[in-house]
Amino acid sequence: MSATMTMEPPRRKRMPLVIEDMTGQVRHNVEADPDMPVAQFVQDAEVQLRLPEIDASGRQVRYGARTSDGDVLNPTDRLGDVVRPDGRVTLTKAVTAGLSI
Amino acid sequence: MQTETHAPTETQATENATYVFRLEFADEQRTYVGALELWPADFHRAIGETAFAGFRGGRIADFAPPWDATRIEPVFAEGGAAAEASGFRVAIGCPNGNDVMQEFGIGYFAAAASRQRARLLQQNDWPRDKTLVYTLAAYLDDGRRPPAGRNKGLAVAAPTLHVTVGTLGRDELRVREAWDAPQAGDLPVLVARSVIEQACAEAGASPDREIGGLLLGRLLRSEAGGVVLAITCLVSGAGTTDATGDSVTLTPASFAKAREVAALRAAGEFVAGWHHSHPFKFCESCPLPTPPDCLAKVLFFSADDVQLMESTFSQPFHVGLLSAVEPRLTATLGHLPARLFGWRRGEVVSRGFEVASD
Repeated sequence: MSATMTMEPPRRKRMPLVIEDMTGQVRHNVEADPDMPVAQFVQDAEVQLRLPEIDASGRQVRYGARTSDGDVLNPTDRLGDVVRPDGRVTLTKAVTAGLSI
Repeated sequence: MQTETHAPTETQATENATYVFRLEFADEQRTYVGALELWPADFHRAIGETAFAGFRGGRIADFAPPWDATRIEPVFAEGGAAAEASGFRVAIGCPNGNDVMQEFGIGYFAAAASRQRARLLQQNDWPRDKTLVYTLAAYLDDGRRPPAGRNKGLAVAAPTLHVTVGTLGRDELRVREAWDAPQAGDLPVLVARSVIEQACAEAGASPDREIGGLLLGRLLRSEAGGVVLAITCLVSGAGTTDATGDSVTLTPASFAKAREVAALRAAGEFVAGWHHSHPFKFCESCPLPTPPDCLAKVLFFSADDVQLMESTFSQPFHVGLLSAVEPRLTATLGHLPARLFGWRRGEVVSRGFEVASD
């Protein structure tokens, strides 16, 4: 009889953060993998928060991220390098008013 | 996406049943062309508006919408297909058992339907001049959920709202003038005259292109107990927006600037809405007073404008100020060429307001 030892995969490190909208009024507490690139963080947030990917004219909505100080986060940066634990990240986008198709 | 359907019957549709909702799309002959499954987040605007109504009426102590703990029930359409709903009802439980409830019509999903139409147009699946009909369908929830796991790197908690409600001083914003017949049930909005004058002056200075900016304001509880929104500052978008003759884009820099101005003014203001202009003119032969049809071609919110409200200014107190440059508007409206838009039962509507002396 042989015993099989199973090892649990190492738990991902998680870092507590706050995501807010551009008005600063709606906030979500999140836990994020500090190793993920900012671009992946933004994309995952876009999916989980059910943010529209296009507008009424079919224009692609491109999301980005800034720190609470207003600094733009580079998409290729490692999240843990550019945001402190418990820091606040503003999800940004450009929004267009006008004549839709 | 769940495609199996379970049409509710009278015996199944009990008070405690929970439902999943879908927007179903068809052409004018009712030929099915697709569906969009609705998520809890798609109802957050309605929950926020219902919570705000309860707060304004004094039935809910704090304006903190229970976004993830609220009952959403379908309102089934009379004479419609088994699952077809004419709208939905939001019910927020109160400690005394006296729930705060509000019903929302199918127009609540106008922006989602516009996006779906844009998607079909992009895929060349839909002629530009063809009407896309959408209906709301509600099915008993079978508990199945789409598989999770795509977002292993990010765990997101329910949202919270961070807005301070102040007190309206006895002598504050006292001299007022009603514009465009404010309705009794709407949130009273007071706009500083200087804000409207600035909005119209900026629009007039750019007669060939749209301009935009952000509105700062405060939510205030008056001595009488009601809640009002006071719009007290317009932060010009000059230098932070991109504009053409028929569009203006507010950028992240526009919002960062507005929040910086709010912090510098230190008056408890927050971003309470947005402004943009329509540089459109009446035709030369347009008579005075201007016919309503012509007025509606200048002072209106387009599908893009409604989309912008839904995606960015979705709180029940958020407003959109529209100004115009057509000189004959002042005579027709009886006031400066401006109109205010806001939320009513989940839809963006033109609404009355009061102009307050600064």
